[in-house]
Amino acid sequence: MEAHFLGRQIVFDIVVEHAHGGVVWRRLSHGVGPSILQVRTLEPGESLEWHDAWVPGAAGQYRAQGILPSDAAEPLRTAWVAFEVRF
Amino acid sequence: MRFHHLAVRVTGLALLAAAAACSDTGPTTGLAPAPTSLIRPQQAPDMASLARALPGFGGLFIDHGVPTVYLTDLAQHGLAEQLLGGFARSHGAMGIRVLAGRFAYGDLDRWFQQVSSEAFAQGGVVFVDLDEAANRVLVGVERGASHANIRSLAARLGVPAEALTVRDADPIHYAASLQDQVRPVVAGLQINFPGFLCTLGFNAVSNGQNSFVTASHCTTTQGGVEGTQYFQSLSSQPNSFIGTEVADPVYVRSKGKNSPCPKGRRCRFSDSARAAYAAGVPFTLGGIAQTSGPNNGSLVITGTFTIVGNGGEIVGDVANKVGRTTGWTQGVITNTCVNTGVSGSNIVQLCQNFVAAGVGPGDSGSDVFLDTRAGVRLLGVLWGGNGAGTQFVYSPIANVQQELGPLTTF
Repeated sequence: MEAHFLGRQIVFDIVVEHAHGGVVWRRLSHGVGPSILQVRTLEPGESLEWHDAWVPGAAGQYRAQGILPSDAAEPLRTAWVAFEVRF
Repeated sequence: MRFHHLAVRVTGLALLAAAAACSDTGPTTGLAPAPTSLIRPQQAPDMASLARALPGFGGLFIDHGVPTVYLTDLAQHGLAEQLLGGFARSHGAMGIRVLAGRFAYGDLDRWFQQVSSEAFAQGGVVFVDLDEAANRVLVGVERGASHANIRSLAARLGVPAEALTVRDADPIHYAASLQDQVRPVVAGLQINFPGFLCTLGFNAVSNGQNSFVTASHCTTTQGGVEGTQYFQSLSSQPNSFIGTEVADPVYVRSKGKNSPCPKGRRCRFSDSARAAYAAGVPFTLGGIAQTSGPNNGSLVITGTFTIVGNGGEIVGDVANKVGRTTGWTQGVITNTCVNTGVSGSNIVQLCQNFVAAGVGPGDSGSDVFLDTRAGVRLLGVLWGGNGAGTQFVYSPIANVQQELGPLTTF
C-alpha cells in the first residue's frame, strides 16, 4: 500500500481537549514546516508509530486524538482516547 | 508534584483500515429494458427498444422541451404518441412532435458502428456520432482534415451519402490535472524525486541553460548539489524524466556578531534549487498552469498564466500560488522579510514572506505570483506552511536570484 505523509520526517499532530471541549494543547499549533509530500510503501502488516509528550497543567478529564496530515482532502485521525489526569 | 506524561500512539493500522474501506464495488451490468418500459414516464426511452417497438423509428430528441421523433413512416404517429405520451408529459409537454425521417434508426446504428470502427484509422477524426437530432451519422474532423476521405470511406462501407454529415470540430483534449504528466512543462505541476512529491516552481534560463526552479528541500539533501533526478509527474511513467539538480547553495552557520543568521542555526535567504532540463523536454518559459479559479480546490488545468515581470509585492497585496496538492490558492501577503525558523530543524530562512492562503503537503516548490490584468508577476517559491494549512511561506524571487544567480523567467 502506498501511503503519503507530510514532511521529509513524517509530521504528525496530537490534539488534547478538555472532556467538555476546548483545545488544551496542539502539537502543531505553532511553527512553519516544509510542505513536501513523502511517498512510502507499507508492507502488509507493517505499522508506524509516532509519540510525543504533553505536560498537563491541571487535573481533570481529557481526551486526545492523533492526526496524520497527507495530501488527502482530510487527514487521517485516530479515535478519541479519553483519560483522567490526577495529581 | 509528579508530572504525568501522555503519549498518544498513531499506528499504521489506521492507514490500512482506511484503505480497506475504499474497496471498489466493481462494474454492474443490466439488461436492456423491454419495450413495455417505454411507457414509464420518468425514464429516458431506450433507443434500441423503441426501434423494435415503433416501425420506421429514426431517432428521438428533445427540441425546445418537446420530445421529437423521426419516423420514416408517418402513419406510425399514433403508435409513437401511445409509446411516448407519458414521457412527453413527464417533460411538461402536451405531446410529441413527429418529423419525417429518411433513415431508420437500425440502419443509422449499423452505419454508425461501421464508420466508427474504421474512421479513426484516418488522421484527424475527432468523433463519430449517431446524431438522433439530425437522423444522420455525424463525423467530426479536425480543421484541415479531409472530409472527402471520410465520404469515400462511408461510400465504401455502403453508407448512403445523404445519411452522412462531415463537419469541422475542435480537438477534444484530456482534462489534465496538476498531478498528471503534462507537456510542455509549466510551473505548478507535480514533480517527483525518489521518495517525495513536490511542485515545479517556475521555468528559467540560467547562462543559457534551460532550467526549472523548485524548493531546496525538494532535493535529495537540502543545501548542496547531489544531482537529484526529477520526473514529471511520476518516475513510474514512461518518458517522465525531465531534469537534474545543478544548483543548491549550502546552508551556512552564523559567522560573528553581524551575521544575520541566529547563533547555532543554519541559514539561507531562499529555499530554492535549480535543475537543468534534460535534452528534448519541452517546456514553456513564463508559463504557469491555471485551474478554474482560486481557492476552489480544483486541480484540473484549464489554461495558463503568463509571467510578464518579477517581484514588486508589498504587505496587503493579494498573492497566488498553483501547487499539485491544493491547486490555485490566493490570499493577502501578511508579512514580508520575516526571518523564519523551520519547524523540526535548525534552519532559519532569512527574509521570507507570509501569505494567508491555503497550502498542503506536496505544494513545496510552487510558484507564487501576483495577478495583474496584463499577466502575472513572479514573486517567488513556496516552501512551507503552518499546521492548519491556512498560511504559506515563500522565498522572494530577489532572494532566489541572489542565491541561484540571474534567471530569465519569461
